[in-house]
Amino acid sequence: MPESMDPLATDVSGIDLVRFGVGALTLAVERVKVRGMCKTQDPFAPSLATLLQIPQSAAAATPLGRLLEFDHPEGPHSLRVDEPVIHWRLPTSALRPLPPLLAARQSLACVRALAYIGHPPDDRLIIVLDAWQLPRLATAADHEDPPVLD
Amino acid sequence: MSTSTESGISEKDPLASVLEQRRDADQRIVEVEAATVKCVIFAIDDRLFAFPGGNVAEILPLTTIHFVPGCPSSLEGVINVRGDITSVIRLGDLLGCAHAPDSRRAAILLGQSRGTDDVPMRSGLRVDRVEDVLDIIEESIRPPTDTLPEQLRGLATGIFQHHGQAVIALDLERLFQDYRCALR
Repeated sequence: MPESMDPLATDVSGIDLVRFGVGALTLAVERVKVRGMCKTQDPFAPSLATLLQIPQSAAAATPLGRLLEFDHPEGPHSLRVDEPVIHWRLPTSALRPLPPLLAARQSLACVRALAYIGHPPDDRLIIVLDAWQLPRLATAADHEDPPVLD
Repeated sequence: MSTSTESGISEKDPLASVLEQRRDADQRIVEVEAATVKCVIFAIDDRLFAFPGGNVAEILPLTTIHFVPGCPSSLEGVINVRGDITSVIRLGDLLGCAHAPDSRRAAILLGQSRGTDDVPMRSGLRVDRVEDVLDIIEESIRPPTDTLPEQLRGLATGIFQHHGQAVIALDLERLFQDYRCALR
């Protein structure tokens, strides 16, 4: 459901995002890179928090979760995120590139941009991810010995 | 009636005489302009450091720092500075000094440098407290010694005294360049 952002309401251009929680963090990805969503009760479903190595304090567990299916060059990634999951339009004027030193030292290529919504002290940081750059999920095949070629 | 001297001041007017002497003394004072450099002196735990004033755009109170995944532990997160998003570095981690526990005196220095290719670089630097902002006479700044800890070598540009305590002057341009290249 779209959420109004009064201070930036006059900005006509924007980018459609899907916004969701991961513990204490608020993340978002482009709407066009989300293929679908379903409820999950499976606590062992692969989570975005684990994939991004978000520390436990920032990734506090919440009872309700959603499985988001992200578009990815290697095939769709289904990852557990926290509710609420919101379809939302971010005005382009609110979107900021990563600060230069953070960009230089950032180990996750999927962290692409930042935005603040609201006003201090109640402002909230939105971390915008590029779903195509998400790290690859480790699978059981990763732990198997490579096949021996004759 | 009193007699007057050649200078026209009454010999029986001691106040006028004293004032005349003061005026003469003031004229004899020669102004010596010593070159100074503005410094922001700050502490990390009990050690004092300084940046050139021109490299510190602002001194901010410690505010909410928002975590961003994928950053090294020395990069604490980002802050909102009137709509601009700025990274915050734990300066003590880069200098090999443990930070004191958070207190109301903790601050974020908004550091700025020209950066490479004249692209300005800007970042917040967490410090435990700001001691002073003042002009230091350049001649009072001594070259850094060889006994400085390894993390400070190459960063220290000099040492001076402030209220009896040694202050290590740091090169912010170098600090940012090293950090950008993951050398710190």
